[in-house]
Amino acid sequence: MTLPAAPFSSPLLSGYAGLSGRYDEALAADGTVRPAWQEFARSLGKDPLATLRAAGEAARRAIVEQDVSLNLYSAESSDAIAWPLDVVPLLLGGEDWNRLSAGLRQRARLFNLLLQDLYGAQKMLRQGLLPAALGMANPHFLRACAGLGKSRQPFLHTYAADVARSPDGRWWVLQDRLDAPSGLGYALQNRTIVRQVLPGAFHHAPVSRLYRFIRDFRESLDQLQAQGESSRLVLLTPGPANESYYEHAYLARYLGCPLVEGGDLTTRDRQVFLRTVGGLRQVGVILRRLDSEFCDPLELDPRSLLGVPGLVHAAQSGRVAIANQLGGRALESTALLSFLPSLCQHLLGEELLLPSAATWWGGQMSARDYILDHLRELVIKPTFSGAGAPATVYGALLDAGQRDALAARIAAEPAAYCGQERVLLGTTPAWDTESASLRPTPFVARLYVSTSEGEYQVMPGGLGRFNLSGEDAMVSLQSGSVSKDLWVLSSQHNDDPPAHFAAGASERRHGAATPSRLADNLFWLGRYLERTSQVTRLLAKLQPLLRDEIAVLDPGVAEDTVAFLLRLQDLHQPLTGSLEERADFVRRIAADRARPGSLAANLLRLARTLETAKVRLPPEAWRVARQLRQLSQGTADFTEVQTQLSQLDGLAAETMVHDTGWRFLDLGRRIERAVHILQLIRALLERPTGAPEPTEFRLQTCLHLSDSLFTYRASFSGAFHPASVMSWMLAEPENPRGLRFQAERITEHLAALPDELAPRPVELLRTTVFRLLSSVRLADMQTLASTPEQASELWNDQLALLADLSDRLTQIYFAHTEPPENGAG
Amino acid sequence: MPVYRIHHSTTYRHGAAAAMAWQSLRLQPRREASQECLEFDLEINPRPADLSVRTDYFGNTQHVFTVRAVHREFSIQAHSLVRREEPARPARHAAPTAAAAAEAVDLEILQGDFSLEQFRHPSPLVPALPAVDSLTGAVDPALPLLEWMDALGAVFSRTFRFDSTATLVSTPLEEVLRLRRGVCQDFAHLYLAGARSLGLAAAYVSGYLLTQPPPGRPRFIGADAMHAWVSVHVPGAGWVDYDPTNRCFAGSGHIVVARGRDYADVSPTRGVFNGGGAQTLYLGVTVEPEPESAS
Repeated sequence: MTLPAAPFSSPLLSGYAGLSGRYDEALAADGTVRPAWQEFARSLGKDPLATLRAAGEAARRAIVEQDVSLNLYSAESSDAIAWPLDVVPLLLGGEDWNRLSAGLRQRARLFNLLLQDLYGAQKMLRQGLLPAALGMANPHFLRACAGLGKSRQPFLHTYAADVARSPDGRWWVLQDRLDAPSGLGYALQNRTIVRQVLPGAFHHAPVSRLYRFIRDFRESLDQLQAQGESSRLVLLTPGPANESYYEHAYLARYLGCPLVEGGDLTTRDRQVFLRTVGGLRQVGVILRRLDSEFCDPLELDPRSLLGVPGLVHAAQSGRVAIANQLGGRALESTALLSFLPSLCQHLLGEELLLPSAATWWGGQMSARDYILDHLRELVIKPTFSGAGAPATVYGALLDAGQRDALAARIAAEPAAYCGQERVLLGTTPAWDTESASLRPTPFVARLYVSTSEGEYQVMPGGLGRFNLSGEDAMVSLQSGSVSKDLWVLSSQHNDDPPAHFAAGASERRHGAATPSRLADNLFWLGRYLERTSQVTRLLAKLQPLLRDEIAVLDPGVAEDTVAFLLRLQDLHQPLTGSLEERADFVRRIAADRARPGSLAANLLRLARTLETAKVRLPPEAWRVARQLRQLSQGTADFTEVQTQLSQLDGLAAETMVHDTGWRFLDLGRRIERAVHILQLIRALLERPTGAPEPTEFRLQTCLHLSDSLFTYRASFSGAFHPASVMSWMLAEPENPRGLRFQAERITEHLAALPDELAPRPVELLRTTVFRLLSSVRLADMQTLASTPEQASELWNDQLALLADLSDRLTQIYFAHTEPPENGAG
Repeated sequence: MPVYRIHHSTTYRHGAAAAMAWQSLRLQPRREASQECLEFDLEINPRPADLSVRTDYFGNTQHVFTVRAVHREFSIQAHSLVRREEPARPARHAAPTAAAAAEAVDLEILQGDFSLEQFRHPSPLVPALPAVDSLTGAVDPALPLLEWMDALGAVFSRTFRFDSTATLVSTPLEEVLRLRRGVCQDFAHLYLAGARSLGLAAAYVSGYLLTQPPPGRPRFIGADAMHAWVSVHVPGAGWVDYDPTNRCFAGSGHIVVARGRDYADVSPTRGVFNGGGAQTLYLGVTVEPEPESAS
């Protein structure tokens, strides 16, 4: 028995209505709910709005946990904000998607051919199919890169398009991204989060999985490599100040390749090399997130500090492959859109499948007249974007005077302007926090296309974006819009990845291949981590020490501790006032970020260093970085700091791969800890000749402050003698907080570091730590305890050895710019 | 048919040791209809670890190399031997008028000579300068193009003073226009702005002049350094070089090294150093006629 289909109804869309004149993804024009949204509503259970609200909260927690962020540019500095994500996905049905992706593949092929021609034979210009000015007066046509289009490799490895629905339901391309399209990493991250927070709906719907695309993406990068070269892939980023640095780090981890900045790379003999702690390693393929113009100060923008001198010549020689090849921005010009249909016909012999918004280029007389006659309806855009380009304006939003002024500017320099039909963006349901329900919002979707074995493939997913204000003027994540995951509902590609598939990481990292700058950052990460931990621990122990009743037996102990805490924060002038006042002052400056040596300042340094080493740390560490940034803003909650630091400590010890990079981190910690032990001993136990021996209270405090009291008691059954305390803190190999323990770990690390780069300096480095180790092993503690001047001398020597060690390490592994040239000159 | 021996010396002195240098040179004289480069030799110290030659987008020869030895001083000696003829030039009264030339250039571009287009637009060092109208406005656009070029040159020599201390490579063109002083590079850039404002295709030329003039002739300005002049595309006839600094059409004494949209396209030496601190640059150019027997 079949029942007549009841009209679909769900609380999910009760009260939801499309906006007039726009296509809505959920509701058809007659008000019925589209099938994909019916299914989605059903999969959310009895109370779909509650499910979405809970998912939204879970997503926000996940974003904070994983410290997913976006840097916002502002005049003075950039600030990271939590990644804005709406968990309500953008749903695209299979048919719809097939049409869209066929259009995108065609566009990618077309742009690839156009770029190969522009940077090769320039036939389109010669034949007039591309107006001369669009190539020759184009500030983004990079003449130094002419010739790169002649290579057989694809010019356009990754293409991205911003698409939107027009009122009749057709897809339109708003913008083509050809240079270094961003957002792919964010799209992957969105998928990970949304899949976690909406598991029911995700598994109910036939959502296409992304892993195949990513696997092919990774493989296609390896295929770009020149024949016979055995070298590696790197991801070139502008650095932590860039808006999407988070994404670069995420993508590098996902693809299993080093994240590098321009300074990590060097060129010689038209080849590109990565500077590593083991010397120079050849780079075969560069996945580029740095704009072309900034890539080579020798041949492109000379003001760029982010690039690699000589990169253009290396690319010209074909000894390095760059994805995308340099110069793609030249064809991102709005004006090109009006020539695309005829170029497609000419180059591919096909109709252009995906329309762009109708565009008129002022460089053509009839088009210029059209623009001037229709200013009121059009969006006026610059022909070429970039510094000094006119801003995009909506004719409809101008008053008569403004419109006349614009007309005059266009008439004076018509080729600099384009007029574009205003497209009313289609809408999709988005979560509205205030009403706790769905609201139609105009959206744009960024889709990704990449080449694999000569064919372009579209990622069955993408990055949806909309404005919270509900306006469609400019949808940019820089100006406060929100992202969405995009679900392609299809019976294809919706199986889960096979168990053996792990994204990217197929090759094992070579130990010596740790980039020098990364090793340097990890080393300082270790030092800052240890330094802040020590100061925090001392601050936490200060108050009980002041209150300790037996402290009256030796008031100098608290005095010396306060003085030590001041010195640790780089404050060297003596303080006046009562002990309580001074202790108070110590705590206040600890929270003062403006003082360079303060705890807060060191916490900020630690957080920043974490940022630069992000790619090598587990995601939990990213959350700690976020917490630390907040704590450095001036907290006196030293317990909380301590909690975060010990968490980081644990992560570093237990979660990181114990590879070369980790060794540098641990070296930093060990050296800093060794220095601290000696400084503490000097602060509390150093005494002039003839001064009385340290009191038992003093000895106890010294052990307590170095976290050795508990272990000492366990080993020495309660007796406190100067010689045995010194021995425990300096010479005993079993005390993990003792100097000898640090020296032994340092010795092990140094023995494991590569030495091919500079055998002799490495030998001297190892000798330095050997001298340190011998000095603790051979020192006679009874003599040290009874002859203060001898003790002072030894501690001084040991501190000097540690400083020397740190300097040598820096010179050999981090600062080496180029190994010396043999036989030339 | 004069033959010239040219010696161009460039020395960088660094305030601190530099570990690495990447250099790009455009020092080799061009091969053109009226010019032939018979010999070219580069002497670089410290010796470069690699050296490659390529032809750039404008057809100039570019040398690229890296130096990897730690150095405080770094020098490039370029020696060339060039045979140079008086270039063929259309008659001064022939060719289109300046006013008609722009449209004629349009037509040539439509017929396939698209590369002319890049010389009609603002370029990195030559922005659109409305103030330059005060100079071009003084010249009758109904003049035949070559007459117009020389008449604009006359306005330049009345308006500007050559002054080797007034400007730097980095001085913006507006500033030069205000100061009414500058060097050959400034004159060339301003002249380009003027010619381009009419829709003409106009290029920048870097090159050399004979150090000592033939007996009885005055010494050229700019003979002891690299010189710069312009080239204007005359529809139907081709490029004609004009030297606004010396108010003359370029002749057999003008040796062409490189052509581009402005100085940024043809800078003779461009470099990036690793370390090195502040640097001082020393330049020297000598151009001597070679006895005829040598050719």
